Amino acid sequence: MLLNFRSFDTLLEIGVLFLTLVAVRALGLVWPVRRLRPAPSPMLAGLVRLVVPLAVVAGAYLLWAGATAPGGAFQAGAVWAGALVLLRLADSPLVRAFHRNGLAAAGVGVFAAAALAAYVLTGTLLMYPRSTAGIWILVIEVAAAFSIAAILYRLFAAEPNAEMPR
Amino acid sequence: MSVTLFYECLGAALLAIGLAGFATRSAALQRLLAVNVVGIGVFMWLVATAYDPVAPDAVPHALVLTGIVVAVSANGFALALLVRLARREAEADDEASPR
Repeated sequence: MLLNFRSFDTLLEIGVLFLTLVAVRALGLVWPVRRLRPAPSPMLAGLVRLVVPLAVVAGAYLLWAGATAPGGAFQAGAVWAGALVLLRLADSPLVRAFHRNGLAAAGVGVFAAAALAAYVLTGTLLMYPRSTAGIWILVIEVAAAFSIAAILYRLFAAEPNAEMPR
Repeated sequence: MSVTLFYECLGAALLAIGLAGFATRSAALQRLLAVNVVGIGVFMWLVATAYDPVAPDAVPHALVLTGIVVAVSANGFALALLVRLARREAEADDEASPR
């Protein structure tokens, strides 16, 4: 529903998420790269080892099932963001891959590119060619899910800059 | 009382509670939570109007999903503002205290 009938809404929604990241950065909050602590507590390490793989699989399932059941890019991105938050709390260096601005922008970028490509192909913005619409939506959803996870995680992990202006 | 009417009233009640909280509290975080409650009241009202035992209307559902995501982003931004505000107040306190 969200990606075929209300695709314009969803495009703007992902744009709003990205805009929020830009706004948070404009407020002077940054994402310093931290070193891995020598030994996180065994309980935290055990929890991370248990929960993160499950969350990755659950998010991937939600992403795939979103075509026909409740789920989709936003739900998958939210679950993955939860896993990233947990990794961050354990000071894992795995989260560094998600700090790239390109990843956060990929969701909007891919969606906008698809909208323009659909316009070129069928004359109407966001009107995917009917025969391959499923593939278009899948590509957009995958990019959007990674992007949403990165943005939501970075909204959590933002910290005040040391030399924040008043 | 029909299902729709019941949840519409519940949504309106949440909205009222949130507004009351926003009007009476002065702490920034409490006001942010109150605004969240207002948002949830609106979502509940929207979903209530979409109720139909046979074929629920999907458009308000899509609107609410989009609204939830936008509300999350707005919360993130508001919290960043709160961090900045707390920083500013801490620095003002540092300046005002006698050395």
